[in-house]
Amino acid sequence: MDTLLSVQGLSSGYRHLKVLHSVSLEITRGSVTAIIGPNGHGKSTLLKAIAGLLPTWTGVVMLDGTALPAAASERARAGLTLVPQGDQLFMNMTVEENLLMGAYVRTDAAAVKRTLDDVFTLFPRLHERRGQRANSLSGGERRMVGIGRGMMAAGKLVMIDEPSLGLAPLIIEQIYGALNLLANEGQSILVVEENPSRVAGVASAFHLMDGGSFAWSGSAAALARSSDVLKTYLGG
Amino acid sequence: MSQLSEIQRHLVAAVLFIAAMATLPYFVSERYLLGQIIVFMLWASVATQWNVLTGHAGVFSLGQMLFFSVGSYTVGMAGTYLGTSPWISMPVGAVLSAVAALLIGIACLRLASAYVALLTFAIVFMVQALIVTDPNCFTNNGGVCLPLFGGGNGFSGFADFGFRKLLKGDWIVGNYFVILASLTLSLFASIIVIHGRLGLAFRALNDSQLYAASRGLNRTRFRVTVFVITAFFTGLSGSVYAAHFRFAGPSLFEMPTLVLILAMVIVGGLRSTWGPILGAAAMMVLVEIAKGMGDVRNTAVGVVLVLFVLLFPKGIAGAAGRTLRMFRAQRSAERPEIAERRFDATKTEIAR
Amino acid sequence: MDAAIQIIITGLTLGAMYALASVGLALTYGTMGMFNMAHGMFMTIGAYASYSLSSAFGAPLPLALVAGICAGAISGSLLHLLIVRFMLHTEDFQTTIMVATAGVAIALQDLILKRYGAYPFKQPAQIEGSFRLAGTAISYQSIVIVAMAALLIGALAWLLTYTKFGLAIRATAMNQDAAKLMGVRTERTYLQVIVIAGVLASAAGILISSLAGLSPAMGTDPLIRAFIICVVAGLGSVTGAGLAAIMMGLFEAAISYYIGARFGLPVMLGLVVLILIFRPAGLFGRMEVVRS
Repeated sequence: MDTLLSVQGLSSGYRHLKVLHSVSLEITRGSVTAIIGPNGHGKSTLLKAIAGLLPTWTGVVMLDGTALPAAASERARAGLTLVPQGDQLFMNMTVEENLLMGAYVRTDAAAVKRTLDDVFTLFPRLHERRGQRANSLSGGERRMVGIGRGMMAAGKLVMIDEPSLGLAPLIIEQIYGALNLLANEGQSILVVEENPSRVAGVASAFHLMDGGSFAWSGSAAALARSSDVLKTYLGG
Repeated sequence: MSQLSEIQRHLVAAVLFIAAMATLPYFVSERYLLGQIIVFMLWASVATQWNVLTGHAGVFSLGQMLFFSVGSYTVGMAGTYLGTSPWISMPVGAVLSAVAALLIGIACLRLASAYVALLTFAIVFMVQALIVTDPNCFTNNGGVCLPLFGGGNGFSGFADFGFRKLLKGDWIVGNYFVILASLTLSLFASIIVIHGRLGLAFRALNDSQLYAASRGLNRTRFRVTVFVITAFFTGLSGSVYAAHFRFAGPSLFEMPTLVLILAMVIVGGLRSTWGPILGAAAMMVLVEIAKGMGDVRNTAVGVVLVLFVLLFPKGIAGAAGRTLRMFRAQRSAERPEIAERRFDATKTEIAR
Repeated sequence: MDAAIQIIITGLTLGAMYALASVGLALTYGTMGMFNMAHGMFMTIGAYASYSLSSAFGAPLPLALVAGICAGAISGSLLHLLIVRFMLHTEDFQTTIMVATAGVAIALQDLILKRYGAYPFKQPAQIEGSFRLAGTAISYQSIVIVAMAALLIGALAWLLTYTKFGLAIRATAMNQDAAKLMGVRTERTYLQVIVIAGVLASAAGILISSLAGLSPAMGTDPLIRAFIICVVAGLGSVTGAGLAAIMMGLFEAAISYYIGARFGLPVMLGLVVLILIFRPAGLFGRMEVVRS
């Protein structure tokens, strides 16, 4: 197996509050991994710690066999992309400027243009709205910009925090359709969702997070067999 | 001591401190040193009030020297134009300062914190500029033109407390006790505000503005109230200052004075009840040393202020408190477990 | 008619200087939530550096200008590297940075006072002479002032709007964490922003000193005006600060003409307080305010 991201014994938290307790995680290149579990148990914290937005208290994060530097900007440059919860767009920039910010560290203008076209093909709505400011978009459109901005980095691994959060079912389907396409193109993805049913069709590996560490890990097939485990944590 | 509430403990400490200060003139006979202790007490009072306002009420005002000056100018102008004794004009000065604070507070305190700092700073500067550039003579005393607000030179030589007649050579001791009395008032007021009902309201407002608002606490009204109270005592210090030095002038508004007192608050420890008094003492010593080194006073104040913000943001009081807590923490063994249990209870709320 | 031309010319000259003085202040606040009390010292340092080069070494005007601006850039980077960098992520940054920079300001002012003395003198780095337009005398220096302000502010606007560098600054101002996730080295962006502020402020300082002369406290008055302009524009609004500066300049020129120069600042301040009562976020606060 070709390991892309390797997290070993990662602990982190906010100020004096420890949230992650020695979490370990391996992600295979070209796969989709899902972290599921109830809210408030450290899923987003894990992504933030991996991205470098939260300091690493203990443990190592390695991408492609090399340990990552501490700063979030350096991790982004190394090829680690986070699509954060709540999109975190640049509200006073246009859609196009937001997308170009995603490609901030890339220097090959022609390649950036190709990715931009890919994003617009995947989300035609963004092409229509490319000159509009992000703060004038609807929730679904914002999510598209967020994911599109993540794609623009052409990173080795895209981490997406709750892509379905706060969206209408129809839009959620659209977003997951896009994620499926990305996955089929071979993009490595780490996705966080509260509800496993949404990611069940996309991901091949699952981790259930509870109280700041993984309570259960397994493949898609194993997940289908362990519905009782899930019931315990997610209340069916 | 353990039966006393927090506020009572501070009040007892204040009584002891004032009593100690009251015995000083019996040991210190050198007039220069006594004069410096007087300056210390004046600035300590201003710094204490500033700390109440900024450290506790969260109002970052850069206009404190304006209120000080309103007090000074009241005594100076009443003394010069009407020959009024400071005993009458001092309380008037304090009240006028409070009125000025009420007006400025109503206009500014609704705004975000950075706006308050900038506007108060601009108001002080504007008043100074208006006074200094006043070209019209109000009186022409022996060919000397005196604008209504004293112009660039200000007022001097007006009536003081009157101890020169009463105590002859020891007049400064009389002044000393008047100024100690004003520090006493200021200190007690600060303790009552910080540890009393108002202080409680501020802690509630700082913890959650939304919750406090839902319980009917009006943030702006509380801020204006404290603004006015602190301006009253700052103005009182200003009027006592004027009566002691027989001087009131635009130099009081200058930036270095403001920064010196700001340094007292920060070096002593913002938010600490006794920090400003410690800080005032420390900065007075520093200024004395700097004077001896060829008047590098402002440079020294500036550098020390920056160093404290960078290295000891909680000031002397904070650094002392931290050392004390570390010492206590080492002696109690059960603490980590308690912390762990509390963490389990709260992590769910905070982890997102 | 003469009065109108007079007021417009004086107003634009003042407005140009105020804009240079306040745009950098608004940019630093907008990007990093820092109100720089030492911003006025950038102006003083720029003016004194030009003066020294021009009077002591007889350097020609353009060289003196460039030297003064370089001095501002260097002061800005030193301020960041020695002080601001260490405070960025501390509690109450907005308040403590004002305290720290106030300390820097009085220390620097004291040092300049010790080196050059308290008495004001004339800025030699300027163009003498004037010409007449429709019966009104216009000095070449006021043309230089307006041209230089337009050039520098135009360059800044171009930088912020059309370059990747500017995109990074705006991104950092809007959302620091998201900017980091895009690979923006925000700490470096902060340094760049303070250097830009230093450049603009020192240019403002040189121009102001060409009219008002040099003195150690010369930065205080324009600093206060820049504060007022930033507040009325809405804190952190860069375009708003530029527009508000021009408005304030024209307004002040009119007040000086009809009522007297000493009432310029008080009337402006009164007006600002009045505006804030009705628009607590400032005139342009809603448009692009970054932090409240």
